[in-house]
Amino acid sequence: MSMNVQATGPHIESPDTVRQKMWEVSGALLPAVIAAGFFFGPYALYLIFASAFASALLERPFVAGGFSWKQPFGDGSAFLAGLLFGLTLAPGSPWWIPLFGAVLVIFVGKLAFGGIGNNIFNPALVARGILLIAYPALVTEWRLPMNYDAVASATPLEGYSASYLELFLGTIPGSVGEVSAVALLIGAIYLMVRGFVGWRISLAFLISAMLTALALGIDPVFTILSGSIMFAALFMATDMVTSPVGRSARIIYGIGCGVLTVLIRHFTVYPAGVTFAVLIMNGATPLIDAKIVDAFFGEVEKRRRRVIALAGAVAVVAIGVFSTIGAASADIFYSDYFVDGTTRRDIRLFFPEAHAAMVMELPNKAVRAEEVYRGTEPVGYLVYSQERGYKSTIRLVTALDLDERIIGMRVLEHNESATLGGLIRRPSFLNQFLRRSSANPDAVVNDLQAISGATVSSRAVALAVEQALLFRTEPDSGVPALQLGADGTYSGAARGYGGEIQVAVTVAGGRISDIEVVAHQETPGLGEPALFHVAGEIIQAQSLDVDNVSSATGSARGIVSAVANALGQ
Amino acid sequence: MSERVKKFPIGGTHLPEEKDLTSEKEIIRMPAPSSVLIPLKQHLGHPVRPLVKPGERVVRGQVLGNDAPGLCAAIHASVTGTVEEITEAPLPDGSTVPAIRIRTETGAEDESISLPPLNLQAMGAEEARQAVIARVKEAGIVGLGGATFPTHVKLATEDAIDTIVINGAECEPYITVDDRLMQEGPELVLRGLDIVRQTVGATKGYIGCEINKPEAIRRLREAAKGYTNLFAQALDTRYPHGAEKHLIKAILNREVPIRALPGAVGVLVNNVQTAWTIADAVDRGLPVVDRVVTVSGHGVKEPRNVRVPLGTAIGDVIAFCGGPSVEDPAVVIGGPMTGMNVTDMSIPVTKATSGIVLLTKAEYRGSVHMACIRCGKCVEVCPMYLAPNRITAYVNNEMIEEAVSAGLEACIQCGACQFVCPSKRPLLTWLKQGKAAAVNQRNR
Repeated sequence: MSMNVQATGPHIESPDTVRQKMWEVSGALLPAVIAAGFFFGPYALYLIFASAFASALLERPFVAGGFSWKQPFGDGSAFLAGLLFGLTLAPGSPWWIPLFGAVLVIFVGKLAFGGIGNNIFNPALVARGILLIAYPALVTEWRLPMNYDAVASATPLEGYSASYLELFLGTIPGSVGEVSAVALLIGAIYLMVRGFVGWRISLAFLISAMLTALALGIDPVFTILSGSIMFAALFMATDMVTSPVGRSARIIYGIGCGVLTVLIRHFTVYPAGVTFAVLIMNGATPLIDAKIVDAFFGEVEKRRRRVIALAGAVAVVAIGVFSTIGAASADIFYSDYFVDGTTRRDIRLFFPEAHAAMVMELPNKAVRAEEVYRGTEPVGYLVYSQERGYKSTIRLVTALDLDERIIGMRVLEHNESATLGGLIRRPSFLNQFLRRSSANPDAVVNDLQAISGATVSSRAVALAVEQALLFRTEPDSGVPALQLGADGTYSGAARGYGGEIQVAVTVAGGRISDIEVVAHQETPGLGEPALFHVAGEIIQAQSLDVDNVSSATGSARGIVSAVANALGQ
Repeated sequence: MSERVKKFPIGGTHLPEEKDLTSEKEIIRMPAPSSVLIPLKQHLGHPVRPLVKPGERVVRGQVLGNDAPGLCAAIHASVTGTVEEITEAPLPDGSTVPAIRIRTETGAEDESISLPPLNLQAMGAEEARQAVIARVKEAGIVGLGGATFPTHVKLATEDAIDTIVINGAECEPYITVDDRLMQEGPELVLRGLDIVRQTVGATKGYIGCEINKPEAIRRLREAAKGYTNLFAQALDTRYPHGAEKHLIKAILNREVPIRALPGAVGVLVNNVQTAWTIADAVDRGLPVVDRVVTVSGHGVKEPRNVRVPLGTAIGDVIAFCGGPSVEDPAVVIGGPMTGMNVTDMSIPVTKATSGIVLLTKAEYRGSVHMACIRCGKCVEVCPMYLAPNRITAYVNNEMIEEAVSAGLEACIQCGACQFVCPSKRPLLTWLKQGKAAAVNQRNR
């Protein structure tokens, strides 16, 4: 016989090969690579491909067959590991980082364990983990996207403010290949359709991360769109060699990854919790695979018992999570802390040693000020102020030291034009306000170096900063006083988010004394509490010029209009 | 009845079908070869004692043996001629069994004997039941899907059976035996099903058939209009739908408990050709003297469905189909998933032979395997929900106890894991070694 035959079957085999699998997974990362090049420029492509090709070439001499010109990149597994590593790099990493990373990927991540199929930990994450610990500054040199002149920036996890859409599309600072959720999803869906990657790990990862975030009072959508969670859930945790193979085992593993990621992010100094979460679960994989074994076909009774046990466990967890949510619901859905998920992190960003912040009760209602503490000792202030810009309200947070001098600031929210007005977010613009003091607040506006072509936006930022510096000052008459009619109750209506909002406004002694919401159709838990919040603010400020609740702007605007309508304003 | 295409819920894989090589080809009768070598064991159980002596003249249909000290089924002469010797016959798995060689008598091709037809309508229920079981035994009927379990034993079940399932899934690539039988004689298959149903007192009957056989399904449904309680059920094309427990899961959504038989969930499964031969045996008195074999693969000149007298050497059958079209094809008896690769062309066709597949070098699997990359593909396709990668790792490290507790003995040896493995690891070979080792360990 000219062919090698076995006596027993199967005598045929599927055309799938390891090589093809590895290259197809690499191909599925193409959208992410394109997005990286688009957002961060050619240097990002250098980072990605330097690491991928270096890894592929480095491994060749050490695998069966050695180097050959026919297959310079071997089975593609090293290339894929290098590619994954390259995509996790920060766009501002030095030129040698991808090459050094490739050495770690291949030698520490793969060959030390015995090569393909034998490594316990995901090689790309091993390299990233080592670099995160060894060179924390170098591998977290973030850059603003769509802006190739190397402007340093924080990531959304570190306080950069971004909308869900920006997070989804990837127009945010972050690792070169991780920012664009949509590019990653395209690749992952391709792999799932081809049957190369199951949905269990990714879905369990994302859902458990969201639930953990909810339980901790963090915005769940922000949680999975920011940082590396999407990338890790779709491409890192699903790495074949280092993840379990069983159906239930994969779900358990995904849940472990998701919960650990959020816990690490929340309770440690590493915003990149994903790296360590997945590495830890990689280590647990052999145990999970051996212990979480699905009932065999025909083990009907065993499966029935398990389903009952599982339903019980899910019920217990669900009750736990939802009661936590219930207790914290005001914080999650509606307080300023939640507006963009950044407030808590602002404390860390400007006052790295701080533990807590307390809202200050001040007569000036135009701003919100928080006193920041380390232990019981105050270390500075965070002041949230806002001003109308060119076409939107610009909200920013200003950090002051105990001498009330500016030590940092960040634009939290704006909707100015992306090209010019958006430049107000840049440190190069904001840095001019550093060291301005409450002793001389006028200098902020008087000495303003406006961005040419965006003077209105620039000026608005300056005015907001000035307001922040004046946080201890009694409000002046800058806000037009309400022209109130005779005492009595006035009713009015306006359209909110969900439908018409009807209010009854009581005027007594020349002041608005009460606002009753007579009827509304706003979303419970979101728009509804916003109505009462805004009504309270109107009464407190005796003004219609009050903060919107950003997560429920439609409702907030609606009630302001309704009160205005009632008062004939 | 349901038009919905059903399937078993978890596992399985789609194989290359290759059925169009023969699915349009009518079954043709192969003339008796110059001699046949009829094994005295073509069933699960023991070889029967020969009732004839060398030199004796036998007629096609004559009983050659019907008695053994255990489980057995009757063996009949498939040609008219002279008993030449009582010898040994090689089997596909490399073993040998006692066999009778008969030299065919020229000019006596039409001479045959059969049993008197049974008139079941004239009998009471119990009488009919006894008569059918006796007839199935006399006619030497066994499971013709390949398992060759004596059918009369199956029909005499003590379990309370409510549903009969006829296995027409035919999920192995290339093989089109059941497909052709369902196309050419749907009423005969249904008649066989109805006889079985009445015999065991079931209320309903299904024929499960993968949708890659649309013509068979159409004709079965046409023929089933004459019955109120027999149905043709379309199944998705997925290997191994022909595994009886998975067929039951797919059609009835009943899961046969591990280590139990289908009777535990009130079901009895028979193959299409078995049903056909039951109908023939009852209504026309015909014993099993030949069977339909698909001769296919890209290594044979004229792929065909052939009705072959039992005992014909596979070399003769291949020659009848034009011989090999390539040099040195791999000859597989059975389907390419579970069949045996053989080199001895004198191996006779038995009741177990559903196909003879000649694979070219390009079609045949490679021999080099790589390290497991833990992609989980084998786990995904395993119809028994096992983790073949882990079990084989235990087996290769001689950790048989761990392998057993990981489900080694639940394996049905379908080979789906090995088929899909991207590292081309011989998983089924290792699983079989593990099973053998487990049996050894227990016997020690």
